Amino acid sequence: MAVSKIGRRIDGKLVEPKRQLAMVFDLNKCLGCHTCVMSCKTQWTREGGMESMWWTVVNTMPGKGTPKDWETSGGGFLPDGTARAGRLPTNEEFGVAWEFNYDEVFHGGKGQSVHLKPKGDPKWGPNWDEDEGSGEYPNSYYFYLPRICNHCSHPACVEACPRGAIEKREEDGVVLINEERCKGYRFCMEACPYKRIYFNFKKDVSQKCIFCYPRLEKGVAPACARQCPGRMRHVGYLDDPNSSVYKLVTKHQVALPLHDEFGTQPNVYYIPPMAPPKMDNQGNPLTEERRIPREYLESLFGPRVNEVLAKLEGEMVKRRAGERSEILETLIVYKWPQDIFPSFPNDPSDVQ
Amino acid sequence: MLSKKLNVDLAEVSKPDAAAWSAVATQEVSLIGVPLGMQPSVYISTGLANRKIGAVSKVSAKCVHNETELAIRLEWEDPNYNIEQKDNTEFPDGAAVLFPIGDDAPLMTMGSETQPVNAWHWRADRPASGRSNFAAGLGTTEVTDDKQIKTESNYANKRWSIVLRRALQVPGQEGKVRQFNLGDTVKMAFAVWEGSNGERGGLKAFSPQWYEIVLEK
Repeated sequence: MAVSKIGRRIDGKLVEPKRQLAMVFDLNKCLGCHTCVMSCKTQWTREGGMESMWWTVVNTMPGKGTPKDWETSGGGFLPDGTARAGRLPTNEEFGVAWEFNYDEVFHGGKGQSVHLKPKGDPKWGPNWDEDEGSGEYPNSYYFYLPRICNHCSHPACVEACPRGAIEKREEDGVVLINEERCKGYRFCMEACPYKRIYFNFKKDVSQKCIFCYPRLEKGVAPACARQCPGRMRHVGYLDDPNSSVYKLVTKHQVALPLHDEFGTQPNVYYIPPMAPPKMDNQGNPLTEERRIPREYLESLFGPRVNEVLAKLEGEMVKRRAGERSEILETLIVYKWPQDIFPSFPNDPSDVQ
Repeated sequence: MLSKKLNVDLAEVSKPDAAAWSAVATQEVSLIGVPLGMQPSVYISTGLANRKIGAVSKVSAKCVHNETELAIRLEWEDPNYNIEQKDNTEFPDGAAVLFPIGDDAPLMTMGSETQPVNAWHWRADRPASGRSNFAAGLGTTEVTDDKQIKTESNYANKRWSIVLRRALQVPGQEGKVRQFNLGDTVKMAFAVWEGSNGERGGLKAFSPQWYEIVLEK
């Protein structure tokens, strides 16, 4: 069947890749260390024009995130499948790359009297509200939410680009912007409900996470996943029964998409965060009620989050009783890298 | 619309405020917003269906040649001066003229596979470098050259005036650009992008009909 420029076949059906790669992020293991962020930055976004780009971010939730208020920025699809208008975030909302007073502190003789600080008076940044969270002492709470391009099965960006410059790869479903075709119109940025697309002002093109496809092609896992000290980023094909991604998403169904209601069918899934019970000022548990409000988690991961959290707690009970739990053993990742990205175990220093 | 023949170096009319332009007849051109339903993007055709596109409703056009070069002057009212895109939300003002590469081409679809078009495109953030675009349908534009079209622009009294200038013939670009001969009657259409209205790409004001220009012998 012939393929049109906008990711659909001539009969209007979405083009489906032969296989689909996915990631599962275990939010119970995310340390908020930003090693994923820095590994991506180091690998891909160091050139001029990319100073403000962070293809992967780790947001503190609840929070306004990156870019600021992305969750209410529109885009994606309405329940009837029609496109929903979105808005373009400003540079400030994404967070500009600050310049610091290095000269003054390090070379101006004021090292003992002047603090190192950003020039100007920034009011926002890519990680401005880190560790703020919500709630009142002693029941304040937050958790970390790593985010990348979701390489969606119904990508709003692909259907937004009037030039057909965005493709979903047939072999693995990775969504890529063709910079030769892109003219920097930013309809994709407007349409992406997760706001994971950046604009390169120097090259006049849009850019985003490429799922480290040049690494994939050498059997090496994406940088963010391989460098994760918490080993919480699982990578695999959704149809590979040996992959932890398959076990968590398909077999045990404990990994959930973020904001499924955006309608783009994301291929990044999350193990929802468990939380300790609420407690009184002396630190005594008050009730069975957990510190992270369920309605908040439902707003992110949908109604199934309750069932999934109950299942995870049940699995922990089983383990304490000495029973086996494939779910927990999968999440623990005893053998790295084969247990977390079995199709991409190669060490990047061993490949050309 | 007559492309008047001037016996001067067209560098003399390269500035929009050059005195020679005052003696050239003006063609007033009405513009409308593009029909968003036709855009090759589900997001634009449905998601942006309620967006009002086509902020500039008329443009004044003049045209001259000197047997080797063709110069086109466009002028329009624009209270919002947008010459850069330094923020994600910023878009520069722009304008273009469109020619069928052959005798005819469908205007509404910016040409077709068998009847392509050639657009001369000026954008306020790169004022001196016009771009020659080849298109064979909506969403297919390709920049084929960024040197052959010389542009100059002026913004004063809340009005843009620009001049686009190119050799009548561009050797080696047959089939990619419109070539001009003296005495030709050539179809031409117009487009203006208002940056402050988020107009870029297919989101623009355009003349829904071709105008004919005659290159005076």
